[in-house]
Amino acid sequence: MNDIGTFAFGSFEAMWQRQLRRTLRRAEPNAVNGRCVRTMTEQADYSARIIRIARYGDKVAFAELFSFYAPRIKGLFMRGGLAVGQAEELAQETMLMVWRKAALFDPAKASASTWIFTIARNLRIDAIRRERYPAQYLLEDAEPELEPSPSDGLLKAESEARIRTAIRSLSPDQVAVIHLHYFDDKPHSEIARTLDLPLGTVKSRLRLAMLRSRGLLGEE
Amino acid sequence: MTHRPSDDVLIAYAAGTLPQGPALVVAAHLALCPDSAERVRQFEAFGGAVLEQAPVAEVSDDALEKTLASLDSYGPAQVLPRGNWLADLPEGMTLPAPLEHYDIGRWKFLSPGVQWGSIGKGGPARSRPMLLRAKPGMVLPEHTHSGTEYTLVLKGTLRDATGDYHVGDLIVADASLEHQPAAGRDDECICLVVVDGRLRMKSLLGRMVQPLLGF
Repeated sequence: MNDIGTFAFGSFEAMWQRQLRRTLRRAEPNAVNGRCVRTMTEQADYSARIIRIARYGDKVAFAELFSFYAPRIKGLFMRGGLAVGQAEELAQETMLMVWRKAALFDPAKASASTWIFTIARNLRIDAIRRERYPAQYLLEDAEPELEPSPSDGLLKAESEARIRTAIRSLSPDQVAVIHLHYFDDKPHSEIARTLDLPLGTVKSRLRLAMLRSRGLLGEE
Repeated sequence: MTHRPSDDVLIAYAAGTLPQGPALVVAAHLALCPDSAERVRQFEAFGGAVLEQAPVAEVSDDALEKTLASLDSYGPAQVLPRGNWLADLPEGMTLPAPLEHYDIGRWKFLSPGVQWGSIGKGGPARSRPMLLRAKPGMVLPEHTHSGTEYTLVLKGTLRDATGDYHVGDLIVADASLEHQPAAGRDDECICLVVVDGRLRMKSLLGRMVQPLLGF
């Protein structure tokens, strides 16, 4: 059975470590990696569009952001168990919020995707729990902080590019579990039902995703 | 040494899968702990990457048009009012920013030397966070919980069998832990606490006040 959940833990762990090392090599910040460079440029472009909205109320920039993000936000919401209609409505609402909050976007703190993700996450919780999610860091006026050095932003962009590249190298199965984890209130048992997988498999796949993110982001 | 929540908890917070009560306690912890805050930023970036690679679900043909049409009709962003804080706090003490918009009730008796204050209103009582205030050296009522308990130290120190906890420390205790934390001897201790699940007081007194807490 080609199912990671059935591996004995030891060999599974070793296999995973090997895979993780390969991924990390691929995601080395200095490696010449076309995909990595392209993603960084794309993200810079999307950030610039959000800034154009904030400065000039640029509707062309908004339309471009909409055509990339709206279908993905909707896709993520649907994967998280929302009905088509509600997913579409919330995706539109997320984009409206992008327009309204554009002035709060700070490219030194987050990429366009990360910022939009937090908006989508909070709106979805508002809709489901009817309560404001207490996670507003990227959506509030920046408190006066220490002067960020120019390299801070660069490091952030590099680390985000590495996360992105690594996620691209996950198998579709792992991606599906991560997506459900990232956009769903469901307990693991329900994720298992949704994906039609044994509970143990879901748990081990989640564990994989965690391991990977730990390795990627550097454990304390 | 600072006590920080595990990555599992921080990922759930960043992903938006942590229930409201625990999420509020984690948010307050982040306001006091730059290391955890940075970690959450990384997991949110993870979420950004997940979004980029989400399955594309085509939106309806007029979705952009409809959204564009409503851009200008949107009023100014609403500003959340400050919560009503009835519990008096010791001189010079403020609560972390994430608590700003929540109502905080007056201090009420919980057990000798220990008081509690409600946070927010509405919502399911059993996972609502609360403030606990213990006089120096006073022991909190012994209890177990069916779910996970999150305790953030806001003032003074808290000690239990596993160690000493200081301002900004977040203790995440699962159901198996049967503990009886106490305030440090030199200063009163104020904590933000939430139990994600049912709390069970062990003493007779505890069982008597339990219904009053709404757990």
